[in-house]
Amino acid sequence: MEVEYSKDAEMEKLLEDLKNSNIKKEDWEFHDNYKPVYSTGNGLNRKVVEEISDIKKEPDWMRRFRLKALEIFESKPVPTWGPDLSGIDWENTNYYNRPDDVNSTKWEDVPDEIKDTFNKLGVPEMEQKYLAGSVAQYDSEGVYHSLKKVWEDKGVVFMDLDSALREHPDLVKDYFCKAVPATDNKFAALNGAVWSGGSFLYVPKGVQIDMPLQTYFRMNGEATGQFEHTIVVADEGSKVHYIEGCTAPRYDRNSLHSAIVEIYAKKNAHARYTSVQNWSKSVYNMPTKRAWVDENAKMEWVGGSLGSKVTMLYPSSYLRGPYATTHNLNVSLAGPGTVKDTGAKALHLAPHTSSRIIAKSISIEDGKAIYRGLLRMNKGAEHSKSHVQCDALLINDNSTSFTYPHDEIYEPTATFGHEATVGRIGTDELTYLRSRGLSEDEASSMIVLGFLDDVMKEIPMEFAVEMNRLIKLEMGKLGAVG
Amino acid sequence: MESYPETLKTRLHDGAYEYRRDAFLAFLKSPVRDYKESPTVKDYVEITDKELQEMLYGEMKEIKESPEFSETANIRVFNDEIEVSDELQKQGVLVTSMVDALKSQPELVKKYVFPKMGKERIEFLINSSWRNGLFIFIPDGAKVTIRAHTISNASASFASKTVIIYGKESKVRYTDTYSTAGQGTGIQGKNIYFFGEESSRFDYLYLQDKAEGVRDITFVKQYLERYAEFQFFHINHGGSKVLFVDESQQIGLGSSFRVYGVNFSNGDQKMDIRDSSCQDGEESNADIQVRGVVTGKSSTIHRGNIDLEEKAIKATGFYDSKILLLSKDGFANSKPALEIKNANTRSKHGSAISNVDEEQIFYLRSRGIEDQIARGMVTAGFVGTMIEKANDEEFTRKVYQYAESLGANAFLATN
Amino acid sequence: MPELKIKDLRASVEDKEILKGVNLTVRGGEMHALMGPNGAGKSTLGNVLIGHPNYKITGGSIVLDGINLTDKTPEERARAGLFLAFQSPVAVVGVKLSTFLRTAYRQTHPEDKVTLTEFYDRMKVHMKKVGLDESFMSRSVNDGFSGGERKRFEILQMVMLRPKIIVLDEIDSGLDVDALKLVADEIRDYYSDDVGFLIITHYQRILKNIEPQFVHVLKDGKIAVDGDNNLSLRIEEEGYDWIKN
Repeated sequence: MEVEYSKDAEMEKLLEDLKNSNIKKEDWEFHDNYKPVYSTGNGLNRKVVEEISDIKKEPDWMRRFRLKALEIFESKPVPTWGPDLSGIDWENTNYYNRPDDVNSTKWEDVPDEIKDTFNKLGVPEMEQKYLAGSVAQYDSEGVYHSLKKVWEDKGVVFMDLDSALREHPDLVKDYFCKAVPATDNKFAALNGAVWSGGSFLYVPKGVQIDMPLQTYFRMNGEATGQFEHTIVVADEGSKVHYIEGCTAPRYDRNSLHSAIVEIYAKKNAHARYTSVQNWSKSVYNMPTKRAWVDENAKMEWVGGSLGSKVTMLYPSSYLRGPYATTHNLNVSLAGPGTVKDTGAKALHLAPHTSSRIIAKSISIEDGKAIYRGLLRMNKGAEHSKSHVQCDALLINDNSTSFTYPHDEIYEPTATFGHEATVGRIGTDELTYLRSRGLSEDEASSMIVLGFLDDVMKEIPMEFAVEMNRLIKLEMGKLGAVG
Repeated sequence: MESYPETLKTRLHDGAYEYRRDAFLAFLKSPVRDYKESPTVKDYVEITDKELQEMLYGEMKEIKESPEFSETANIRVFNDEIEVSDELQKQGVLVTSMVDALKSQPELVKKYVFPKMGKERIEFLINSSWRNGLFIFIPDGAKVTIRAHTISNASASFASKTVIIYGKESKVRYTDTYSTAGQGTGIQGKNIYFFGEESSRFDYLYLQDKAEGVRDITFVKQYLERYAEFQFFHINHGGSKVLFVDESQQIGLGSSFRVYGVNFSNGDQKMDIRDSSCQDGEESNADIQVRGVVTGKSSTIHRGNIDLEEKAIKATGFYDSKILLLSKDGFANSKPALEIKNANTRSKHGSAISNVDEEQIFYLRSRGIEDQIARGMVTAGFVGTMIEKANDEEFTRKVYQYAESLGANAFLATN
Repeated sequence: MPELKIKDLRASVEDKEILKGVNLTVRGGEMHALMGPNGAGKSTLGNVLIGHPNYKITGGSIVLDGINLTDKTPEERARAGLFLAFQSPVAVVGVKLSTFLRTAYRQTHPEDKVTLTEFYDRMKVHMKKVGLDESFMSRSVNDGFSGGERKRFEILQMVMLRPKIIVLDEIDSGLDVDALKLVADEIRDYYSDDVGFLIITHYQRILKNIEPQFVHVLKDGKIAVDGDNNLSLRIEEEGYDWIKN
């Protein structure tokens, strides 16, 4: 890394920022007046799907795949076991919005208004500082991608999935919807039918990329859907860290984000996926994220779910080979009026596999944080281990928290433990800190950071920066603690 | 089940008719879950509507051999007959059948029984279709020890309802044993409701050891007023399918609910053991600890939900489940949950599933102890540590007895 | 008079050969010390003798009084009269010390119809001798025991179960001077023509309290040198480097 970062410094900065907090949501909830060049209009039917496929000039197998997925989507009911999803306006959502024909590897070629948007969000700055490559997506299409030459020379492929489908069709076909088939759930089927954009990252055997690669997703249109599909392949013995950031302006009408992320960590590979989601409070965020983890490979999920109206997200690891491991760290912030139904899944399908899940949630005002998880040890997953920890912090009296883990153990030699706690910011702690001269805001944010400490210790630097930038906005509300 | 209202009119037209009718309507209205419980199974312990019909229309079958009651039992129940010791009656404890209580205690029934319809589908059905059960009233300030033993024919299918009301500052110790006579595959449902008045204390030891083929469905509820304390020791050992649902209703300030549960599933048994708290009362507390031992091809699921309502300021709720999975063909599962609707509370749950540590077995074997006995000892140790906390002699003895008697078959599938 | 014959014993852990042909005979009335540098395979030998499932015997034999123990289970070896005091005994949560010892005794001495009271009385006497408080009887086996308490408990088991051939693996580690003396006294009291000892130790410390007639040095999975107690004294001064395989 060219620029020195220290996590402690970031924490300090966060506290400092909280003290002088005058940052407003408008910092990213702005929207520009960029008009889409092409849109399929509202609603979803066979014609819309065919149209998307036509515009993209896709191979025939993809077109057929989309139509099949549409059938599956139509046949599946809206899930009722989780949060209320009646606010999704299926009829009046715009399933495809194309900003421009431009998809450039040069920043200068990106249309000015879009460029301004990404500039405001600090995307190019981040790329310069510590990224090995980046992709930017605006509504339905990628508008920019770059990859440092050193990695390109080693055979790394990093671009939006549409470009990849054109340039590396066979590679894409090998992995597309293998881990997450369209039959998986209604939202995965929807993505299969109307997917557009997302990233494709392929790291060849033995290549270890020491700087992260990032995709930034921006949803601009009102009542639009963003359905990107991301595939990360870490081939045998490789190492990669992939980051995603997401924002959208706030509108009165709800938008839908239903992405698919598939990660393939092959034998001895090490893949890390970090995402910070800060959709505005008119977005239903329903992604399906899954990793196949092969022998002795390591998969790390690091997630921050900060924004959106409703999020349902359970990144899963299928531990398919012996000694495969997965770590899953997740921080959810359920701000006022929002629901975070998040968690993790780990499926132990081979011997000596291990998983560790740490989930922390914070509920502010009437925010509702839900942990929902699945842990399965199949018969034959001998000597596998798992530990799940989920903790919730309630900030206000009317904050609520729900914890629904689900553990299925079919293997007697496996070891499994689960712990969960729910607590609140204690008056005693607050008073103690305040008696030492801290303001109520400082004191409570210090306690919040203390609560997050064991996760913060493990999260990568880039994530701490991102967390800092985003969490402080929500934390600015802490004045209302009590 | 459409013909049920007719049955209701003719067969069970008693003083509880309206209650039965409303409960049945509630049963009809409650939705049947339409999604799978987990990606692998639809239900962990499935009770079909066909089985419920059996329970509903089952006839009381005579027990041929004379029932072997526990010697110390001071309440003996078999078929619809109830026998109560004189000593208990002298202490002012009212023990009667539910059917008789409808006639002899209309006020109490109206006050306690009728307002509580239940929460769950099958519970509603039992409340509408019970044949009989116990009705017990313990006056304020009484100190009593009750040992009830209920024996039913293993092939009989029926539903029963038991209501136990105990007064202010009363102190009760109640041992409740359910067993069967003969062999059979009856489906037997029961609702047991407790009403604990202010500052009462109730120690309840529940022991279910029915015959192999019996399907046992039990709903237990504790309505706890101010400072009422309820300690619950339960053991589930017998039956083929066991659905055991226990939920406290902690209405009162400072009410306390402690549960120590142990269950042993073996053979092809399927057990679904649920212990939950529903806390409305300020400063109420719940501490639930459940242990399971899974052997053979059996399956056990532990569920527990700590529900702290908006009003339950300064309440605490803890749930802790541990399951020992001893065989290759066994299955263990835990579904703890926390539903916290008020920030001024503390709650926690933990669950663990593990097997016997082979290093421990080896250590015992190196001292000359046979493999199987070593496993029995470690298993007894696993449940024992929790039982010691419960500090109830009878409970401890039973648990050790079951743990150590896990037959040779228990561990056969291991290794 | 008992006799343990270890012949050309080879054993491996996770396919790595640790013992590469050990020959050793321990008879009743004999006190042997097995010394050797770290990693020589000393503890492996103890574990292999008692039949730990993680150690695989790849050759040779273990014979006690004419009975071949090589393929026997740990409990069969224990019942034949073999005892290993473990270097780090595991905790067995929930199993009471008294229950454990009583069960083990019944299994190793089915012929002895000792009453429960007699057995516990005997146990209390020896607990006192090794320096374990009576309250330990109702505690879980090794659960929450200090290192020293674990070692005392191993010795207590030895005297209670009355084995014929005893292997003590680093019995002196974790013991202070006073405790070491208590343990050594108990070992000497138990020592007779009917029992043989194999004391596995890295240091010479315990050998000052119990003088062995035979000293063997294990190096790279083989006995490199045999001698008497003078050998242990030389090792104390010069270490193991001078010994060649």
